[in-house]
Amino acid sequence: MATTKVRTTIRPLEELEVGPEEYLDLQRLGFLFDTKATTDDGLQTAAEKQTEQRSDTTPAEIEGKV
Amino acid sequence: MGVTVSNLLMGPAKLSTGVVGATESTSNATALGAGWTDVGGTEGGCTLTIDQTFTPLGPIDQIVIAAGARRTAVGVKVKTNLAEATLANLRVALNQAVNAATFVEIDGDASNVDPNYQAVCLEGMRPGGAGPRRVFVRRTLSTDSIGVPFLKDGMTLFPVTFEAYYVSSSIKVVRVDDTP
Repeated sequence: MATTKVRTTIRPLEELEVGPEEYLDLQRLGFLFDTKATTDDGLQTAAEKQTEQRSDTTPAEIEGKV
Repeated sequence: MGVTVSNLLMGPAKLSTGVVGATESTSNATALGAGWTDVGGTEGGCTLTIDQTFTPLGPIDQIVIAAGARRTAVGVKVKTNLAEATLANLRVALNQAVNAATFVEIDGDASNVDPNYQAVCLEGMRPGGAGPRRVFVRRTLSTDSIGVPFLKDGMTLFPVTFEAYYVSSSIKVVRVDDTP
């Protein structure tokens, strides 16, 4: 089974290896994040920024249901 | 058996809630970042409850005691009373999104859309007394009935029970973290 390495907003310094089904779920939950940051501080700050933007979004909007 | 007195714990916890997926600090020495909100005072303590159900294998005709067991259910809850009777805390208790409005409304419509899940963080002391222990419950709903008493001789409290839900295979439901 093909897996993908991802980082999530929850613990951005940890890289997870997930299958396609979990990848889709994490994407729909808005947990995945993509950043050019390479340092620990940069990753943490980028994840917090994405989280902050999501705070202004309803769960339905996050999951693309409205 | 010897006792390590510095491992004994007592004292209140700080309760914060956040959007599901809120970033957890890399160490407990760092404050929680954006996406987390301290709900302020609580009354009666904050309790993390982890229910486990194990279904026994057996007994069978030849063995009269269970040969083993399988974990067949897990339930996680955080229970407390919010002491600060603000609209922001009422929204937390009702699973409503953060909003600056000076009112709260509750609709009666049925919906198939996911409710507003919340992440919860309890921060208390860890054994050794050198710093905090954080408990992250990553996807919860406040499921208790919210009684809002107006009493002449008692505080108005919002009783809340945050019940945990599955996140994903890689992202666990609960993390109890003593990282310095």
